[in-house]
Amino acid sequence: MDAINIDKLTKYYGDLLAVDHISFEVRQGEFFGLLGPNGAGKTTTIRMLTGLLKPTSGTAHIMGIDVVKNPVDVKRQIGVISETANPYLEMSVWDNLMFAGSIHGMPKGRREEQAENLLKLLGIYERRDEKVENFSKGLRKRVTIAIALVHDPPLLFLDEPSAGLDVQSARMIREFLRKLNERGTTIFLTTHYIEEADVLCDRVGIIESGKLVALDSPENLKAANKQAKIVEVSFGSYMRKIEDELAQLPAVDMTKKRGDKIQLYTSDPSQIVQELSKFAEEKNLKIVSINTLTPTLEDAFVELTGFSSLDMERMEQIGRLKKWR
Amino acid sequence: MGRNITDNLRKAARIAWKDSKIYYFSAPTVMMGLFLPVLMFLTFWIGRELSVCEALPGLAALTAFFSGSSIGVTAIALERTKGTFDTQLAMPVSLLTIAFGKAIASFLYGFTITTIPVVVLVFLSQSRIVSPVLLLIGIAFSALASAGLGMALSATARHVHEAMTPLNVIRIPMMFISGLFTPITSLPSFLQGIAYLMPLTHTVSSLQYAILGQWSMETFLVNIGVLALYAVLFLMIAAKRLEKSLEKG
Ligand SMILES: Nc1ncnc2c1ncn2[C@@H]1O[C@H](COP(=O)(O)OP(=O)(O)OP(=O)(O)O)[C@@H](O)[C@H]1O
Ligand SMILES: [Mg+2]
Repeated sequence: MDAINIDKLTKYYGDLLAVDHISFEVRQGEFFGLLGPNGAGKTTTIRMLTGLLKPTSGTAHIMGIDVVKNPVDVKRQIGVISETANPYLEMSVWDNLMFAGSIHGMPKGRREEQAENLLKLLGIYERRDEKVENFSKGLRKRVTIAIALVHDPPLLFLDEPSAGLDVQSARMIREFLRKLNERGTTIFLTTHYIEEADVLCDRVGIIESGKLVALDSPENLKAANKQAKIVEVSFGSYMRKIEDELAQLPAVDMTKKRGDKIQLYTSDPSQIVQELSKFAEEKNLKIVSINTLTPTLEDAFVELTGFSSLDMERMEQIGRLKKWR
Repeated sequence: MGRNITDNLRKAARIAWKDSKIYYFSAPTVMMGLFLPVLMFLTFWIGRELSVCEALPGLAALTAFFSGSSIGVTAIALERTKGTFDTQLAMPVSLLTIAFGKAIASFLYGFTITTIPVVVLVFLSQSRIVSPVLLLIGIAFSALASAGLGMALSATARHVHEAMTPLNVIRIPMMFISGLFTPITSLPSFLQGIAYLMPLTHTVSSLQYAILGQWSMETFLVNIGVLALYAVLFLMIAAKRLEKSLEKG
């Protein structure tokens, strides 16, 4: 049995097609990442999988249970850390966990034992009697994680777990998730941090405009992208005009500025090298360095979605300003 | 099946307990809750040739119908804005149970906030009321219907005002044709028809019977029946609308 089985899952918000007939499986024990730029449909997908949003069409099974027909049973099997979900700020950390545990039908003794373990692992046991409203964003995230895990679910969903956190909190949470996965918990997370998907996930699905455009291990995604090679060239100093002219060369698919270097995306590196030397000759430029690069996951991502990670960070900032709600 | 029901009741009780602690039984909310009806009572009482006892059904009806729903109506909307409603939705509990649990908290508050000033006033004025037991029953069913109304209106609201506005649009006109200020029989006949459909009318009528002995036991039973029916209906509507809200995201 797959941990997650999605078949032609689709969501329209009015006329807007947010998730477009996506299908895939996540195996038990897997660390799975859904990677995509802002507005790609990651949150919409994860909300449908966790019973917080009704799909327009298609089906999703979680541990073999239909999420639309049997949402309560699905929720027994999963922990959910959604982008906007918060603990009850007016209650203490401990009371939050006791409330969640009791809704999960756990006896008092088991609830307390599990809460103690989790809070110790997450480093907030000493502060368990404090109200959550006193906590910083990073600490609140840890409380949210503890609430989601109080019933020890076999499957954990996380929507952008490290968004908006400082480097240290983000690293702590990644480390925690890695350990959890090693102990057997299946993890499904969404992220727009390519790095995060690369270092954490066994397999990554890339989503763009509601469509699943690729799904494979980070290594295979990078390898599949080897077709699209990168040739990096430097003429000593960067000039916008030169980049624009290089973009016109027949073998160049796309260009990107990297410091004083220009990266040329191509399917035919040898052709590029010829074109480049001709170009340099004609323009009377001196090639200072020239390199062929192995693509990174980011390159695969850029190739598949047309977004760079810089674009994504910029959009993340804009996104934070204009939340549609 | 039986196990399932007790299981859901237990979860509803947990939710009611949590909501009571967070939203209802904090010192400022209780003080405000007690202050408002006393103020309403004084406005109602002063300048009229009424004994405390005669004014009591009005006071009790207004408090029972206004206190629980005023806070209850914010419960879901507020949790949506704070992001705690998603936390609740992620837990294994049906939407009806959530609505029911939240309604219980609203009911407990409405019942307490109404009963305390009524008992104090009866005691201070040495009034003789017809039946204290029926009075408590009347207050309880009124608070229940009012709690249900709050949930039904709150279910799809993303912000507090989205639920508060329709609540007042419903509650305030209801006040004037419920027999609270003028007897229903003196209203134009088409308003009388509407009046009998309003839950508040049945609150007023049942409390008038319990306190003053107006109308009859039969009317009282009909009043309680209608209030109970409204409570159930409102809860069903709340659960349906919560379900609907899962489509919008
Ligand atoms: N409740 C909603 N009503 C209407 N449109 C919505 C709603 N939620 C999301 N959308 C739209 O659906 C599309 C997908 O949004 P979604 O939030 O799933 O993207 P995302 O990949 O999670 O993006 P982000 O990185 O910003 O979190 C976007 O165009 C978004 O504006
Ligand atoms: Mg999102």
